[in-house]
Amino acid sequence: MPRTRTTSKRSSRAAEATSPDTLRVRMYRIGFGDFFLVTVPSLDGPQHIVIDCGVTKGKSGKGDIATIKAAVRHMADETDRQLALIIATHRHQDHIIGFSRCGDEFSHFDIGAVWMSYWETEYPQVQQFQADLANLALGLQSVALAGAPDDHTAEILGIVENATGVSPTEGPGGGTNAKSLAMLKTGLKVDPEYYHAGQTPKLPKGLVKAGLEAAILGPPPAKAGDFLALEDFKKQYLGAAAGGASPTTIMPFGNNYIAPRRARDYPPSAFREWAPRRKGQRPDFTERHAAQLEDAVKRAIPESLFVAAKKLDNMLNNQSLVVLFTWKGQKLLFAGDAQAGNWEYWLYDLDKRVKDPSTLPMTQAGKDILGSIVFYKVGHHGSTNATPITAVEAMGTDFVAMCSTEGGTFGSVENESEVPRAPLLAALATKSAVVRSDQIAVDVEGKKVGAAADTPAHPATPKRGKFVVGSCYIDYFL
Amino acid sequence: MRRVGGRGRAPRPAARRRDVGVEVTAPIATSEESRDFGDAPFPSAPPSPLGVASKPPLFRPLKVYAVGPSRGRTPGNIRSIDVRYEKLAPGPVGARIAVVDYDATRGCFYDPVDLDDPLIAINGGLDPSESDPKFHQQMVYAVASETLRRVEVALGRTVRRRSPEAAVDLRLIIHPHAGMMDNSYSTRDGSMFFGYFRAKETATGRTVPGQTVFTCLSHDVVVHQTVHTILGALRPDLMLDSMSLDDTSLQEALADLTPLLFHFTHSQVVLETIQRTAGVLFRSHLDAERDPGGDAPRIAAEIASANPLLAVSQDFGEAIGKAAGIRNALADLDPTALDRADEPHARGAIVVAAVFDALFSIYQRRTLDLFRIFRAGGGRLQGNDVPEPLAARLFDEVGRVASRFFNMCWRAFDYCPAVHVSLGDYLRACVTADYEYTREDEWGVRDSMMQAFRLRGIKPTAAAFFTEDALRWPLVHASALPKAGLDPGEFTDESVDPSAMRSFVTKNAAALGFAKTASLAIYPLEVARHTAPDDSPRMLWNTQIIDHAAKTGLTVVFDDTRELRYAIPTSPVPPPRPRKGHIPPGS
Repeated sequence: MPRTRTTSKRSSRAAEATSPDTLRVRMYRIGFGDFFLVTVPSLDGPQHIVIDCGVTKGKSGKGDIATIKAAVRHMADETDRQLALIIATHRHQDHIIGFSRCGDEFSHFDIGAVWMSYWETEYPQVQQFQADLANLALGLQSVALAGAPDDHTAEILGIVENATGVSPTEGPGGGTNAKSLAMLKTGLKVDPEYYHAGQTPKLPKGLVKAGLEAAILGPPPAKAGDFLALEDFKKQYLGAAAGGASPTTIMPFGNNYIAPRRARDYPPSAFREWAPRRKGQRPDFTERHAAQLEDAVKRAIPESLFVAAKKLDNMLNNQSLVVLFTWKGQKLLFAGDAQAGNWEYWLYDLDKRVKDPSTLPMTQAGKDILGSIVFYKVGHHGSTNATPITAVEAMGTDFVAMCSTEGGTFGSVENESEVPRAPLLAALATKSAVVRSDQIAVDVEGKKVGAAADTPAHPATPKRGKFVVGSCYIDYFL
Repeated sequence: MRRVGGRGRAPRPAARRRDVGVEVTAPIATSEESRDFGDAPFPSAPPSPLGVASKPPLFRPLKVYAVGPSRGRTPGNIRSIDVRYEKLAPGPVGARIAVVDYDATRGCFYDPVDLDDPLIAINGGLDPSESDPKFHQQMVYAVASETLRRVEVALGRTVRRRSPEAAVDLRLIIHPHAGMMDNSYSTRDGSMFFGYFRAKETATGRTVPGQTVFTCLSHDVVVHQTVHTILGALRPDLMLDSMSLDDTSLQEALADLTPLLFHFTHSQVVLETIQRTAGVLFRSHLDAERDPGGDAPRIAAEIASANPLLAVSQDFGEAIGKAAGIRNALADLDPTALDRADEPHARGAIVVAAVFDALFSIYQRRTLDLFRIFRAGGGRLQGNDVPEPLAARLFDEVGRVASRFFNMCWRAFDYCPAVHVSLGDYLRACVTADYEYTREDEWGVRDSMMQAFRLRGIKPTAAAFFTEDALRWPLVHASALPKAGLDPGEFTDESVDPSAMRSFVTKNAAALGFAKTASLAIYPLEVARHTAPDDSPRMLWNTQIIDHAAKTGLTVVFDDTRELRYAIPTSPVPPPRPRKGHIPPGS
């Protein structure tokens, strides 16, 4: 596609939008997902960074407002298909599906560098870990699909679809997570750099010349893998885990019906299917392979499925690349979907996870960063389990918080799990000017989407810089 | 009375199992005795050299709930099923079904029932009880075993777990109390999980809000899950990717059709329904046992109730607050419903309604003469009171029709395309399967099916006309193939040489529409043995050939002459349908 096609249009629009000495953060409204364009002014012209490009329809099916393709085309015109850097924070559909759904568009881009999470490295252990997660997701999907539909399965399927990028009940609007990852890793004519906390990233020259600096705060490296797996709900903004509150357990039968010798009360032939199979060897049918059977049954119960789905979700979120940009001494924090484990790793400088780190002193570096940020990309679309309370407390008082989200996609107010979570946004609003993507109406390429219900009509006024609302995005000029 | 026998003990059969049955042999006659009978009136035939052994029984009677525990001991709710006999270990654990009662919520195993215990066996199994997990184990075993047997009778073969590499013995693993959940699941590996839960506050009918409900005690739920498991073994190619909504809808349809058609084998329930509907079996409600005569009902017997024949799992339905079961065989006739249904269970229900429409249309036609004869003889129906002989004939008739439909619905799976089946394809498969059973179709089954499907908006996409000839899959013309069939040596009644099958496909690749044959997955051939209405035996072989890369394939059917009879191609997968309340992604 000839580049010249849009040049004249672009330059006039760019001239209107970007003043030469101001950094701009553009948040596109594409539904439940992240799509940010950071534009840094420089003597060589504006330098563009895309941070994530994805959307998911979620439990309610309403998360995808079908504007992502138009938004990507808009971004292509805006940047003249020249991107200094693409950052893909983690492999969830709501952060990367756009790279394959709009793969044709991206394949025409000129890209300086791609940054991805260390957890996307092609190391065998890491690949195995990701493959295990993908298998778990597929397993969850098939079991959840086997049952009649109910609220629980809808939530599980929403989570799993986000993790795999493959929809179980209908064809996707284009793209899968696997295709997006392939695009990012091999389809953009540039090899990605994989980073974890503490590494110094290599900024493309154009950005260095523009005076930008970058530091990587997350994810934790592989040796600290347990930070990914766990998360401490207690300190988060929630009363109950999203929908996970279990009804009172019932005892279907008296204790006298319980087999006293457990599996040994059954013949070994009852466990034949669970005998481990090895090639060239006859399976051992004389043993009772009870542990395997017990696991299989546990996996089939929705409650345990639900817990597994949430855990999977958290693991992937915690793989998020957390980037701190500094421009003219001003700090901008892009937290991806980092959850407790990811935050704690860099806020508390721990070797191992502890039960309640909030009682420990936060590192001075952590305090300095949070105390001085001028911009915060609200983690995980404003969900209850991202952005720890202690982090909000440590943040300064005059920054801008941008939350890319779509109300009514995941969770519910009754369960105190709605996304974005009202108390979190309220807490942030006491310290910052909060704006959410679903509060702006979209009117692009003839497609119109109204603002989400119960959102403020106008963005708050920031103490420094300004917000400008566009056709399918909102800009923050620093 | 003394037995007459010759000298000497009969030799034991070589393969006699020590632990099964009681052998009866003739007593050894002494020399005096034989002298006594020297010119006796009895012929002194020599004993059979193979002995006289009593074999294990063919069937094992086991008690189950016909509907579910909430019906208690109401007429017909407790029935005894004759389950195919096999030696069982505690569980019960047998060769084809294993019940392993592990509860993941409580983290315990429940005591397994030993159905071979003489005290239990002599009683025809344990008496129904909600509070005894051993009865639950017995019930899931009996119902799953019976379902498997009936399906195998319809298919004319033993169901095996198929894969392109091999077909192996199928065993169903059942967990009757897998944990606390108001649902049941089955997985592709043959496991079935049943949950227990507290009945909702909105529980209706005979279920008390808050009581513990066991999904494994609902006859229809057990059949439903067994069908899912059997389908997974029978046609794994259709479950691999679940390429479209229709694939999953069809599985749900069969999983509901099967228990519904079983209802017609249960004489007590059917006879009672005949009595309370004046023989109009498809009415949604049964009249009260006693007519309240214009007043509001004052006693239980004056309350009309939902038709149990048409409700899938009435018991479980009531526990979750639905009066007439979780789904109903006959929904309102609405040609636009299919377009709106975007969930597999709901779409499956439309197929079920179409099949039952056809079934009842034929029942209606075939019983008209009985009513005419009854009236011609001066009979007149008083209220719903159908005379017993007439009711018995009606039961006979509906049983026969239901059995024909049951066979057709299952055999159709041998004629469904590979990888993906649309609902229209299924209609074509049903028409073809029934044609292979009887060319004439004196009952008009195929025409009724076509009309019932058409009325609900289910139409085959590829057929040029809506006639039986056009809908039936076309017969393969032998001259169109370089190699018309398999050679006798390659293909016995029991087994087929996989390399012969592959060479057949390779030689005919162009005619069958395959560009490359090396990467094709070829499933082992399955035999179907049927008896035609004139009692003549018939054998057909079928299998699937799949091109995984192109997500397409072919179902092939060979006839008795080992020549290719049908080659059924996969129809194009329809574009995905948007879900309710969902904005299609992409702009």
